Amino acid sequence: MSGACFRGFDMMDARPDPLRFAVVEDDPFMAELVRDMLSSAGVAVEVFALGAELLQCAHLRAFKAILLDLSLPDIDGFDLMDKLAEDSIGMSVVLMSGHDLATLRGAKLYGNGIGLNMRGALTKPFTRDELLAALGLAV
Amino acid sequence: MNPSARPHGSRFKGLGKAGHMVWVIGLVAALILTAVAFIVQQAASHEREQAFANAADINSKIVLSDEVRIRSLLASLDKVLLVLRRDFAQNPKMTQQQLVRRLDELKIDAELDPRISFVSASGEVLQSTARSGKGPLSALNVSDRAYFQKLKAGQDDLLHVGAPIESRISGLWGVPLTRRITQKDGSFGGVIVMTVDPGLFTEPFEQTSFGANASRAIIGLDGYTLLRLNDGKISYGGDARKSQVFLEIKKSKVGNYTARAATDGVIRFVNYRVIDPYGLVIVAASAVDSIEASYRDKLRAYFIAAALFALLIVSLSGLLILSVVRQRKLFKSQQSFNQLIELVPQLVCSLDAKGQVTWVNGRTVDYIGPSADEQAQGFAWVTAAIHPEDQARVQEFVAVALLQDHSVRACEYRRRRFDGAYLWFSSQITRVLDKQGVDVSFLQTGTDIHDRKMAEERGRVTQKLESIGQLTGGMAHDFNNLLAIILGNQQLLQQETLSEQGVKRLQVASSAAQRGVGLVKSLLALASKQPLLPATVDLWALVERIAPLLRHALGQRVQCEMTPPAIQVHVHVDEAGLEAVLLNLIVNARDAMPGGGRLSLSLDASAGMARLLIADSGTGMPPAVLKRATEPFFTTKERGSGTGLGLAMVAGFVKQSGGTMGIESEVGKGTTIEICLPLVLAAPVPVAQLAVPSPQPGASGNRRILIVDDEPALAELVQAWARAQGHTAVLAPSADDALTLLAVRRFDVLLTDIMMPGRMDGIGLAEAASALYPDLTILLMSGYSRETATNRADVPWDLLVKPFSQQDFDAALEKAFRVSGFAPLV
Repeated sequence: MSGACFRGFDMMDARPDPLRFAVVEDDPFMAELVRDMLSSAGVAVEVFALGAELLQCAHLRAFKAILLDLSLPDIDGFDLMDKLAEDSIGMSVVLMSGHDLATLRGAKLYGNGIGLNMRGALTKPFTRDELLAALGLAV
Repeated sequence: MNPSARPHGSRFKGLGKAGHMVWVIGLVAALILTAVAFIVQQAASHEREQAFANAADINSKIVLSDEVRIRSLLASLDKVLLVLRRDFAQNPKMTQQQLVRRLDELKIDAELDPRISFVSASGEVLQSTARSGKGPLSALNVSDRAYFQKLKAGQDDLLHVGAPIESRISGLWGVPLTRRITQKDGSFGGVIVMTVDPGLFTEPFEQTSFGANASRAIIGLDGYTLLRLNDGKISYGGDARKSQVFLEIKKSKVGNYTARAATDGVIRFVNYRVIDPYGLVIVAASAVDSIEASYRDKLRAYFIAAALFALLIVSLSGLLILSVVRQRKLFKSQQSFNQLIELVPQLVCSLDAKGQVTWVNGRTVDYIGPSADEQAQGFAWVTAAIHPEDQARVQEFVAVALLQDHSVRACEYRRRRFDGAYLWFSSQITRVLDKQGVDVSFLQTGTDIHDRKMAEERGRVTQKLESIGQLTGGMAHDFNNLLAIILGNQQLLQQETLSEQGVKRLQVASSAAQRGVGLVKSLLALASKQPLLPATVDLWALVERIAPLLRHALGQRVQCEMTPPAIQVHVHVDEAGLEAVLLNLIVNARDAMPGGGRLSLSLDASAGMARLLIADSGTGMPPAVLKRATEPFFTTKERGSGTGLGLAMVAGFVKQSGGTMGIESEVGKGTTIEICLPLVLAAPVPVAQLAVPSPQPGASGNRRILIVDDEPALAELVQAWARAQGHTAVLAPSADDALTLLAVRRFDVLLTDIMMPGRMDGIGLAEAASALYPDLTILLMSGYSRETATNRADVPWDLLVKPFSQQDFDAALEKAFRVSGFAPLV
């Protein structure tokens, strides 16, 4: 439902917005939380509930960064990173996960290893400040 | 251990040497049988003697009475003979009438009816009382008669009894009684002959006799039979020279003997007596068969009695031997049972029907180790050794086993050992029944199950930990998501304008959610779901770094003393984990000292271990609490204020880091926690920074290749080549990072540089990776030659020598895939 809403937005303005972020998160509450946290910092957010939705997004490269939940219902986080690495050069990615630290750290290493610009890895739960710091935004 | 050496061990005694009993019984039986045979033989021989003596007595009496009678008969006849011989001498021309008259004058018993004849020296009959029908007496000559010839030849003047003859005058049979007629000059003047009826001698014979085939006889010493009574028949005359009696009388004139009679072949026991001077022998004989028959019945009775007695003895001794053998078998089986009972590792005791101990095996004594006094007072010490808390349970168990339940049941309880320690035992009671199925006694065995019990206890804790691990593994992720939402929203709410009460409520909610975060972290640490990322750490530096945090956690009322080690102590641990451990322990110490106190933290190193001591002066723990201190969810803190995971997490962390943890505690004095971690001698080396590679465009790869090189330029180049081939290439700047990546993602190929900074070089990485992931294809690359780079010849992996071209790389990859033969990645 959120996807439909933002598709309209895409059509209105297809230019890369320096502060437009993609959030890939299947939990609507979590997605709303992240959106609210970032909205307060003046960042526009587009939420994708599925990895496939993100990959099908026409203006994928236009996102300043992608906040990626490692556990998605349709695609493995690693596979999604592989796809992102193929499609875009130097895409910035911030990982979010309720997984243990080792997995998250490994995933971050992996992203770096395949050429993604891994900006950070957030273990859930995280604070707004942590989120903004990871995205390189002023608190 | 010798069971018979102790009083309770010698259950079966006094049954040894039973084997000799068999021989003794056999010998006694043989002796008794021999004695019986001897007695019977003696009795038989006595009976025989008695019978023969009896026969001899009867026969000798017969012989004696015969002698008396015959002597008186012959004496009276001889008197007549002598008177007539004198008369004849005075009147040789005596007529027959004169002779008859003279005979009548002598008034001889008419029964005797003697016939008198006078014979001249030439054998002519001069005068006779007999009437001859054959002619004149003078024509008769008896010189051929045996008596005539005998008297003519002899000189004696004795009465002679001759063999029965037929009278030549009267033609009657008679016994001649003769005397010699001597002339005045002493020469033979003839013979006076008196002939009497042989029946005179037979008269008493008809009366007595002994048994069948009894025989009596009067025999002349000249070798004739005067008279014989044999089995009731009387006979006269006959040759008797072959009779045994002639041999016997040479030895004695009176006696007895046993001989076979020449006349009828019957063996007889004979009594004889010589009657002098008449030249006669009187004989009375009984058949030996008859004598023996007289005691044969008695003898048979003896033999039957003896046989029955012998049979009795044989059967009795047989039964006795059988019972001894059986008893011996029983003894042997009891002996082996006894040995078995002393051999088994169990404590065994036997109980009576009231459940009282009546006997115990040696092991029980050794195990409990009662004093001599206790042993002297029966078996109360056996029951006394049961743990006081288990007494009632064991008593109930024994009561039930004895009265109701016939099946074998087990009861687990603690039993005191000789050194005072209580160990767990499992006890069973078996009913021992006799043949009728009646309870005779009960055998109680006790098996040491202490180790098992303890292992179960440990297993219970381990199982608890494992289930927590599974729980957290599945739930932590979702739980963290929920917490993130709650906390995030709470944070956003704080920016809203809220009432004072709203703010307060929000703070309470936030703190509760924060506690949830801590709980999930603890659970993850406990379950080791969060792999530790160990690094070489200066332990004291770490302590000092977090010291302000620790002091803050301790609060104002606790005085903190920190004793640094004499040298630098390096350990290989996960820093964050160790920090959490220290914080946990400090918080525990603080909670143990609610009224303040002293905490000392010290570090030293010895024997290859770093030893961190955290001692508080708090309330301490009783043994029961101490025992469960590291058990998950065990807490003595108020509900809600502790998770019960703190010490469990600490213990888990220390164990996972290859160390050990010890707790000493005494109520009222405080608790000391000791954490020992293996020392690392090498100084810490900073991990190389992550290289940020430039991504290369390429087709979707069908292999996943991990490229490890600390030189990003070359690595990125190789990555580009790999992508050009359609593979997914992942870069890792160090061996450690490579291992982390291998842990989170499956790779087909590992291409690693050999010379790399860090604690692990390319060879080490290759070895570790091939051990962990056997399917992984490994390729090495180096700027040096193989030997120089590896410094050894036995490295099994292919080497790409830098600089190498794209073709070299493609060829190496192709070869690697061909060799490994694995299927394309799906």
